[in-house]
Order: sequence, then C-alpha cells, then structure tokens
Amino acid sequence: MLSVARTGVASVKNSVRSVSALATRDVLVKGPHAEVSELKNGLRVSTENNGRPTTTVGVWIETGSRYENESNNGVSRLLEHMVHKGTGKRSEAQLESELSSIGAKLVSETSRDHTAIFVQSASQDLDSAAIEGEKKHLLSALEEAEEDHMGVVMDNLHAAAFQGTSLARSPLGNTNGIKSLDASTLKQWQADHYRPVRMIFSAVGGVEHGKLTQLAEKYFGDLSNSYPGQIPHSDGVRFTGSEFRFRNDNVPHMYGAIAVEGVGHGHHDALALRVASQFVGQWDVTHGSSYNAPSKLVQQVSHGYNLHAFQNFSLNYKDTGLFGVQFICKGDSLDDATSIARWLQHEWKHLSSAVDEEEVNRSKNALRTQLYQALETNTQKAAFNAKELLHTGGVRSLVDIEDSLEKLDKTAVREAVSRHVYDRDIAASGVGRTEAWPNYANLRYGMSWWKL
Amino acid sequence: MASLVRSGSTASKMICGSNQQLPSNIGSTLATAKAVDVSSTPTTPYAMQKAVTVPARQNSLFTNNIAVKGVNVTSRRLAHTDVTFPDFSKYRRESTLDTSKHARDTEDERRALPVAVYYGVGGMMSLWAGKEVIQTMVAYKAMAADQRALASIEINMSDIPEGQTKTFEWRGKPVFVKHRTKAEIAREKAVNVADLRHPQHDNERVQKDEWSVVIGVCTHLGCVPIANSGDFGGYYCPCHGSHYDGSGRIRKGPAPLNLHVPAYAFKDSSIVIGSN
Ligand code: FES
Repeated sequence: MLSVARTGVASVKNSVRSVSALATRDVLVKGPHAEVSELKNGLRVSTENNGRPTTTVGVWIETGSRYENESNNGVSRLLEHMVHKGTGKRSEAQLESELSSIGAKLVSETSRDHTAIFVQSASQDLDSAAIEGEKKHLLSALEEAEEDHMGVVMDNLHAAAFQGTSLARSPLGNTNGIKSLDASTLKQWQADHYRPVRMIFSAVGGVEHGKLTQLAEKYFGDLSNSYPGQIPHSDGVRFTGSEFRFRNDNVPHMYGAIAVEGVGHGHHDALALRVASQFVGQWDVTHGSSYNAPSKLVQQVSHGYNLHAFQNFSLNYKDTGLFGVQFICKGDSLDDATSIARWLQHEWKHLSSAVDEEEVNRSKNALRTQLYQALETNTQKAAFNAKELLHTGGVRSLVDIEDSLEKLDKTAVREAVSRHVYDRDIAASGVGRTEAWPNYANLRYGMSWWKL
Repeated sequence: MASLVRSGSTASKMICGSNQQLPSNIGSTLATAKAVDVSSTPTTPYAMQKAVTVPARQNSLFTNNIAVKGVNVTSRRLAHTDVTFPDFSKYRRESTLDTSKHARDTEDERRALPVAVYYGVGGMMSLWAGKEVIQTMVAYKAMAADQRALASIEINMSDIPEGQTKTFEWRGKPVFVKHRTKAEIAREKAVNVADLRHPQHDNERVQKDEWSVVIGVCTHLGCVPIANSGDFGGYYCPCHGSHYDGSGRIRKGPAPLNLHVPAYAFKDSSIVIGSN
C-alpha cells in the first residue's frame, strides 16, 4: 500500500517536472537571440534585442592577469580603472556628467582571463598623475582584499593549483608590480591587448544589430590588427596537486577550498560538471534546513562538525578550470575538518558512480534556477554573450543550453565526474585557523573509493 | 626597556634586554639610532628584521655585557599576492615541466608505476587467490584421499594360483579376481546365452580367458557375495540367495543383473584395475 502511494507521488512529481521543463523551453524559444557579425578588422559584434527600455553596451577584451608576469602583475586592472579617468576627448568630470545626463553608468571589471568595460571604450591618452592616483587606489584595494578571507583562499588556490603558470596570478596585482607600473607599460599593454581580434562588442537591450554594427564600425573600425609589440601569450594551463595554507590565528575561522582541475568554458563536460557542482550544493548556518535538507551532504555536515558554510564552485576559464568546494568552519578540531572533507569527497565519489536520475534532475533544476536568474539583467546577458564568443567562437542561445541540459542524464554526469573528479589530484587552500587542516595525503586518498 | 618607532606604514618594536641596569643614555642612543635606520621603509620581513637588529651589531660600542635584539613586530602585512609560491620544478617529473600541457595529458605516464604495481602485484595476487579457490573447490568435490589413493590398484597375477579367487579393495568396493582353470573356462564358454536372465557371453566379460575380474557387489541389494561358492561354481550372495557363475553372471536368485566388470588392463605380470 505504502509503495503504491509512493509511486503515485513520484509520477505526479515527474509529470509536474516535465511540464515545468517544457515551459522553460517554451519561454526560452520565444526569447530574443543574439546576432553576431564581424567587422573588417576582426572585431566581433554581438547584439541581443530584447526590447527592454535599457541597454548595456560593452567591450569585452581577452586580457587579464593570465597574460601578466611577476613584474607587471596588476596592469590589466590598472588599465581598466584608467578608463574611468576620462579620455583625450573627455575629462573624467566631463565623462561622468555626460554619462549621468543620459542616466548611464560606467562599470568595468577584470578577471583572470578577461577585462570588461561597459558603456565606454578605453582611453587612448593616459595622464601620469591619474595613473599614480589610481595606483594608490589599487594598493589600498589590495590591502582591503586581505580582509576578504574567501577571496584570499581562492587566490591562493589558484596560486597553488596553477603554480608556475600565469593563471596563478591574481587580477588584484602584487605590491611591487603595481608600484612599478607607469604610462609606458600601460600603453604597451593596451597596444598589445586592446586589438580588435581580442575584442567583443556586446550589447543587450533595446538595440538594433545593424545600428550597433554601424556604431562599432565608426568607433572601432579604425583599430588595426597589427601587432607592433608582441602577441599576448598566456603561459600555461598545468594543474598541480598541491596545498597552500596561510595560518593566521587572529582570523576567527578556518577558511578553505578543495578543488580538482575543471574544464574550459567550451568543454563538452562543462555543463555536466556544473550539474554535479549543484548536486554538492551550498549551505550556511542561516539556512533553515539541516537534517531535513534535500542534499545528502547538507544532512551530514550541517551539524556536529562546527561547519559554518560551504559553497560549490565550477570555474571555467578558456581552456581549463577549477571544480570544488569552499567552506568556513570553526577550525579547532582536526576530526571535524577531516570529516567535512570526507563527506564532501563521499558526495563526489557518489556522483561518479551511483548518482541516480532523481538526484540529477534535482541538480539540473537547481542549475536552471541559478543559470537563468544570473542572466536576467542586460549586463549579465551581455557579459555571457561576450564570454561565449571569446571562449567558444559562437554564442549558444539559452534554448541550446536548455536542450543540452535536458539531454544530460545520470550517465553523462557520472562519466564527467569520473573523468575529472574521481581519483584526481586536488589543490587545497586554507586561510585563518588552519592548524587543524586535514593532511594532504589523507585528502588525496579520499578521492577514490579505495587506493593503492 | 622597549621603544616603538614608526616610519611610514611600518612600525617596528625594539626590545633591548640586559643582565644589568643600563645607563639611561644608552637606551636613548639605541632608540635614536633605530629611528634613523628604519626610516627607509624596509619592505620585506627580512629587511625589517635586519633594520631593527642593527644596534645589536654595534653592541661592543656601548658595553660588553649588553645583549640587544631587535624584534620585528611590524604591523604592515604583505598582501597575499606578494607571497611567491615556491618553485618546485626541481622536484617535478620531466613530463610535468611543460606548463602548457594539461595535467591529465601526462597522467598516464606519471601513474605508470603505481598502475604497474597495482596490476602486476594485484594481478599476481588475484591469480594466486583464484588458483587457491579452484584448488579448494576441486579438492572438496573430489574423491576422498583414501579412495583417490586406490583409484587404480595393481594386482600381481602370480599371487593368485589357478582355481583361486581373491578379493581386493578398490575404490571402497570389493573386487573379485578369479584365476580360472581350463575346465571352468570351457564351462563358462559353453553356457547358452539365450537361457540367461542378463544375456552376456563370457567373451564380453573377460579380456583373457584365465582371468575374470568382477566387482563384488550383488546387483540385487548390494551385499557382498561369497567367492568360490554357490550352485554355479562362481559366487553366492547369502543375503537373498543369488547364485553367480564363474563369469559373474546371475544364474539363480533375485538379482537382476550380472556382476559388474570394472575397467582393467593387463600390464606385464599384473592386472591394473581402474585403468583401461
Ligand atoms: S543382496 Fe544378494 S541376493 Fe539379495
């Protein structure tokens, strides 16, 4: 009787789910699609007209700390910040007032493998007083970044996992690097990197593709593709199983991250790994659920081990990535820390060999929510389109993504996790009270069901 | 005795210790000298430590028994991006020296040894374990040791004089070996096969006319017949009175079949029972 009732519920749930999946797809099909065209000089223009009253226009440039070296670490960020300082045609104040008069904002960011400047293109003339001011700003930002312990954990994780390669370098820059930068370095950098083939002009909002292409032709058409300096080269993708602990007992908790080598943005396992990452899930002490959580990991680790929070991540760069979990715990017991890591690894191993359709569906739905929510604003969508174009050479529509997500089954997830996570080397990074950090060999041992 | 000197964003605390009361002017001299030393804002922890340790080297200028040690307690922290991750290239396998190669591409090579050990030793161990299992199973299912030892027995023909029958044990059963006389042979050959309950000619039951070998288990209910007795010059089963002739054929009584003839062969001067 009980089992009959249960089957009944399950089938109702299934039908509800497939109905909602259909609805997602229907909505996406009706949604706007990105149009892509290429200017004569190689600059690619992507627009997506969603008919909204606001528009984000931006330039995404394939530059960032991956292309820096020890002595100029921070240059891409400094250059990005300089954009706010005005151009030869407009002073900083003029730029700000002109933008605000039309209600626009200038936003920019730099990561390991790209720089994005929304609304306004980069300046050509750099004023050295402004550079000095901005350098001070970057140095104090660097100092502030020390208080963002999780940020430090992630930077250290990159430093260890990608040691010896340029991916190890933080976009924040290092003190000496920032201090040594000057106008000529910046100019050189700009000349090397801000080249049409490395640039995507992406717009989302109430824009016509033709009109924007004309504008791009007008403002970027004169950029040449010749390289007077050197063609930027990102040095290396090598992942190394390693550990980086920064013990500081004045920090009240243990902050940590454990990760394996992930995949690049366009890799065929990228989506499966994101589903797997969703399966691991996230939790912090403010969540109402513990024993009753849908995630088995949360049920296990949310109590008894003094864990404060954990969060999955699956980072995709152009050609490699990191797949793992970051966590914060009390850090006063080796047993607790080890147990947390063990449960996490148990979930990874479960994913590689025994995850079932039900669990995969739950994770897929969680990913849908996260994915589509994160692409709701024009800026987010413009960034997504640009990143797609930079990394894969094309823009997948959300329908394409929904289709491949729909096709993804437990076998695909198991295979992806077996390939990239099961029994793979790990990189670990700990900051704060790391005296009780689990032993590396022990952690590595936990990556497979049994190990020689 | 401690003085705190600040310079820029760097603060250094200098602790001076001595085993005797310091003249008051020495303390101030140290502090003054210190303030000059660190004004150039050392940037590495080593330089900071060095800066505050300078007065200790000038020790002898002041007095012989003063120990001065600068302790760098700077409040300026290095940014985490200023920490250089050590270069482990020296310890790397050659295959992982190329940073443009993905780790997974060199993995097979790096794991060759553990994999070889795993499949080599593991394979050997599982082969051995498999052998153990099969051997145990076969030994368990096979004949008992005493029977296996008697799987075939050799009987010396000269032990049995003509006209005699001897009983041997073979595979837990009695075997009658009869050395027949000429008269007995003639008698058995002459029996009319059509009259027999289980019609078999003597030729079918013997290899050499002088020797008849049969299993001594009555085909009625399994008693052991008595050799050289009964009405037909062969065997007699006392249980229910079955009479067998000199060829081991049933002639009278309740038994339905002739006595079984085991596989046997002649070898030189002996009969091997249990082999063809
Ligand atoms: S057992 Fe031999 S006659 Fe019955």
